[in-house]
Amino acid sequence: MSNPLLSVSGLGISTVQDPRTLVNSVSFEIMPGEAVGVVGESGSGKTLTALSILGLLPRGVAIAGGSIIFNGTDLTKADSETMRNLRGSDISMVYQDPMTALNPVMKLGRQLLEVIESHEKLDDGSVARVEATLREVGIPQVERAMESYPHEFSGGMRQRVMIAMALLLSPKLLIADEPTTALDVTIQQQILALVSEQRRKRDMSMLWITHDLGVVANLVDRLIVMYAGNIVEAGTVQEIFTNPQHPYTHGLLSSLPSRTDKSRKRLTSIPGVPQKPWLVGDTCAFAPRCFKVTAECTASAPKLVGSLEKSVACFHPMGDK
Amino acid sequence: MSLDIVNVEKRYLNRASGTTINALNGVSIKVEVGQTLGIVGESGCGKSTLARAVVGLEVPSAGSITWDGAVIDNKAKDRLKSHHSQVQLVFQDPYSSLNPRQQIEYSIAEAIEVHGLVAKDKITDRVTELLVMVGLDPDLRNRYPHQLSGGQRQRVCIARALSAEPKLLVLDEPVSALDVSVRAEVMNLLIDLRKNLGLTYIFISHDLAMIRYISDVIAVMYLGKIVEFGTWEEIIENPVHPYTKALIAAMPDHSIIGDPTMLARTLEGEVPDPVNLPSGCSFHSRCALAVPSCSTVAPTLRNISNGHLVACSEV
Repeated sequence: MSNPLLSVSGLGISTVQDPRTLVNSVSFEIMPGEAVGVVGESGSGKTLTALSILGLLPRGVAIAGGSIIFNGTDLTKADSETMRNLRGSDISMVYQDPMTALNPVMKLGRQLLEVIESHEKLDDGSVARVEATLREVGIPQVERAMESYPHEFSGGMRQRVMIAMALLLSPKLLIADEPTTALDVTIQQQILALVSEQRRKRDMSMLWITHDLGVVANLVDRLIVMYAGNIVEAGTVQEIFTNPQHPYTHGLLSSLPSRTDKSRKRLTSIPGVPQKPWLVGDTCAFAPRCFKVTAECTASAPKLVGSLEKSVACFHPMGDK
Repeated sequence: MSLDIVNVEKRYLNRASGTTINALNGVSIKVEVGQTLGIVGESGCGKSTLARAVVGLEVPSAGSITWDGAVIDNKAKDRLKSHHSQVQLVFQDPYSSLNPRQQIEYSIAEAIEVHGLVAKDKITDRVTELLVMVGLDPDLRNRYPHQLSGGQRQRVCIARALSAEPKLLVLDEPVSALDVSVRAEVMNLLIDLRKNLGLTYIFISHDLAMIRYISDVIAVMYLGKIVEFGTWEEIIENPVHPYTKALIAAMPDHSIIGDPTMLARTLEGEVPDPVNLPSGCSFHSRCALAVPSCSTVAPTLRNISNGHLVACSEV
């Protein structure tokens, strides 16, 4: 088996002042060419985990421990110069809201050329390279698009431009943070198809962050489920969706109405609301909402155990009948 | 008793550019009491405009909306008030639809007082009753909205809507802003309330899975028109209009995994600008079935079987 492209181990993220844990000892790997999804609700730490890989944590929030090994380099120890060289070329990111991620007063062509310029010298071929990438992501009338401003495009087209920008320097890893959440479903499907196509063509690894289990069901190879700053379950899409082991994953899946359920039976709901990660302490984060909770669950925190195909952090997984 | 929406049109004039936005272009639909109508469509299809027109927040440019035989418009303030006691709206965002500086008790009590449904000294009891009805601890009455979770806030909004003792509740994307794990609870609450209070719902969403789950009948909207209408089973299991088919195919579903066709592109292009509506059928520019006549003749809704209506000449 080849070495992982990205190996995150024991990653902790917390606020700098009055330290509050936001992400608690997270470990996972991404193989070359593999697509991994991270699923979680707001506050579960999925976005912070992604931002820490890029060294872009918001002010006041910092890595508290662990390592992020990308292609042999520990990014938690890398200086800002190394990180800047990495961002946009080896690892690139697509954000949720393309309107705030693009510069509203700069023509798109210029913004895309800037991506190349920040990593290598511009030459005669640079414009052609940008145009070719725009064509690849399905932008019509590319020459005109180069001269346009972001507001002249629809949400779906802007997201295509963001994807072109991320693909421009052929990254090894693409991180996508809910890039289709703001889009209509038919446009979302177009974007998912585009990303899926490009990933296969370029043999690129991908980390796709979302709160929507339906979106990743056919997009990624493996899935990580986060809850209150912890990974509660990870495994192949097949395993997670057909045989969820953690009561949270199980509850989440049965709380969703499905297209194939003819009976429209009552949705199973998870009582309560997600716990704040810094209030979890040395217990299972899901214990207050779990129907299988025992004294063991609040005495210590369960560790994530298992293989790459399937692992779970729970004292009483669903398989334990 | 029923809600009758007949040929409703709504246009907004953009004074700056002198252009007209065609939000609703002839919508007709009848909702029987006790029924839940689901309205599904993408942004700009007019579903929220229709919701606002039903509660009297917008006046149609043409056509009429009548509830129990009375026309809904804002010409007579008294009539609108009596209408509001029968028809209430719950908005998508429970964060911006509650006053952040008011305790939730006051937000609910204010609605009771406006409609004068309960004697002043009984209002406190009524608030308690409403909070219990939506599954909230009455001790939360003195909280401010920011002290509540999203799900709790949406329950407060539902309690406030119910305080007027409405017959019809218009729900405009009521769970879209909530965390995934709390959506099911609010959906279950809505289903219980419908049963216990005999309510009629108009449930508006872009999320076909939720629409499918709660609706008796479903209307699919595209560019200010209904393109298909039928029972939920007919629309989901046997969609006929090419747009409905594309919408269903694009709906992400966690129960279908490892299926590469889920990532196939079913619909090219984007929704046309409602300022310049396409001629003929408004869907023809994106439709795989389109023939030349589609760009000149606008199809009307026709009955294809037992109340299953579709506006398409090619199916």
